[in-house]
Amino acid sequence: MKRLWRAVPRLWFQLAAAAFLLTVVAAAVLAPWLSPHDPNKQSISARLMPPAWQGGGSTEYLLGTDELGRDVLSRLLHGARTSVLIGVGVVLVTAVLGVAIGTLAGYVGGKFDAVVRWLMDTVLSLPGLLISAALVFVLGASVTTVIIALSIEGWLVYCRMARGMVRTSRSMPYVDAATVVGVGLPRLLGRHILPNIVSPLITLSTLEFARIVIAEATLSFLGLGIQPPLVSWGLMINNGGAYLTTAWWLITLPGLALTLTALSANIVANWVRQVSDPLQRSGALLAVAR
Amino acid sequence: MTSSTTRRPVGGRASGRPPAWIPFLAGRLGFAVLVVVCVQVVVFLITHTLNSPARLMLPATASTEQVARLERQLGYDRPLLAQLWDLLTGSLTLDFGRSYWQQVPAGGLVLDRLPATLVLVALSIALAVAVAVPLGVLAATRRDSWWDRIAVTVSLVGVSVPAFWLGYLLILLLSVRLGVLPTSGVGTPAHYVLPVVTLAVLPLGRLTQIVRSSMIDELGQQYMLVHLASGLRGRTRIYRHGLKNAGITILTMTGWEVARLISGFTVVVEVVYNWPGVGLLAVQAIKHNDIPLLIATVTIIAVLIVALNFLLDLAYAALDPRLRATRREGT
Repeated sequence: MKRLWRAVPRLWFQLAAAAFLLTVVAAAVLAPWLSPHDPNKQSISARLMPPAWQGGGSTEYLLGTDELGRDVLSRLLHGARTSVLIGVGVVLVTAVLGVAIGTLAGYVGGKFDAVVRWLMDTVLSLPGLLISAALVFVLGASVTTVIIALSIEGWLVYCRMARGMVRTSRSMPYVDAATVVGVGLPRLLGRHILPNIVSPLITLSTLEFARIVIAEATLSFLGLGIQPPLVSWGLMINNGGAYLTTAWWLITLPGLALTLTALSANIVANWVRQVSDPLQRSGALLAVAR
Repeated sequence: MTSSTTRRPVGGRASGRPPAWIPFLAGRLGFAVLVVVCVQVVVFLITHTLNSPARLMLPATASTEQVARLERQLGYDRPLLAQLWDLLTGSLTLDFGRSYWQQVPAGGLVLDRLPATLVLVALSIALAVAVAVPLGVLAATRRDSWWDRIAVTVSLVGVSVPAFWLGYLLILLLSVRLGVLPTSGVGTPAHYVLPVVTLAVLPLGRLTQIVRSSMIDELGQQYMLVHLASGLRGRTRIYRHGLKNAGITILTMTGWEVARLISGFTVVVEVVYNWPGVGLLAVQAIKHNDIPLLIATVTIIAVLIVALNFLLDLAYAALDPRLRATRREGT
């Protein structure tokens, strides 16, 4: 504990990032209880009010109101909910899918591996954003469809990582040794090969979380993702764009929340990697994500 | 390498075996075509099977008969395989059908918009590389210095800032507050500044990271120690040897970044700045439920990405002496 405290000045940057990420998650979970107002409640008399510290602002709406008189703070909190829900949802779906396919392809090899590689190349050549947007449009916008749409591309990085990992460890002496003493395939994969994946998987998932949060906001910004009455930071920036010159807070605040969330996740991912993988202390911090 | 292309049929080889690059080239080419076909199948399935195209075009109150009539009118009532066959054969001649929204051939519409997007991508990548390479090299050669910190910050911020938000901030600051640059549209060279800068930020972040780490790897190699021991130091060592070897990785990753920009990131920037490119067209196609136009856009983007990957494979094989050596043995 004492050592941890002594590390604080050296690690303040990473700790601040982790703290911010935890705050966002807490805001996401507690949004309905923390919000001072209903995020969709309109109030014509309180349209476009600036944040409380600026002239004309009121402490009733701490971060101001938007063009329909909705409370920006409450909308930010509910936006965090959407971001975290979709970010975590996509990461879970794609990690499970990608690791399963990649492990199998890496271990079985042969025809199955060839098919998987070809599938990966196809997905890489898809204009991901457009495909996701088209999918959401065709299926109808909801949290589930956005998760599905963003998962189409996302499994790929996990698949590539797991496949590479399994292929290299398959020829390791300890795997041969395990095979020789009669360890079966499921146990071999589960106990001897896959544990190696855990730490890069955590790093990759954190990086992917950052990417997905931005991707969801991008879709919603284009009007092809989350739809009202659901709240999304991207949607808030889209609506605020029309009031760029008169109400700076409408685009600045959700954008700041979005950027800081992604930045924190990237910093934490970098930190996790440095701690868990001493070999790569100096190495590439983003190269994993393609 | 290309010179041997022309020599081969005339001279013939004593060994009787074709040079190893012919099957390599043919294999890659066949694979590329297959990938484009698959992309088309995916888009076709998304647009034709998940929901009725006609129902999406009509208001929610439309009756089943109205939907069926429109389906018949637009040919969506035919067997799926026949429709897919028409799409695949038609796209060979860039015939994707007429755009519902603009009432002109969809393929031509996309090709008209293509130059605007390609110029934007080319300028952004050039900017990103021009900043990322010096910054990355400085960071790698002066570890833990201020340059290193700047490089790490640039790479972290670059991948974390959403392009559409950055675009709005730049408009707010430079166009609205200071009034030095136009907010959107095309025309004068000044119109290029904001979109190019906005689009360059993400590849800049990633490339800085890649230049930095590949240079660190390269400088840690054994041959670098040998150079140092034999008295070769300073710039020659870093640039002539280090950067040249790291160059292969940097080139590949730059190609990747181009593909990523084309495949999605331009879309957002084009929407923010109202840039008349393919991305803006694609978003409009989805919003107007213009299936022929959407398929045309996605196909042409996929062809670009696949062609780029193909060229990168060739460049990679041509540049890496190790790969070249194995090919010579093969001939």
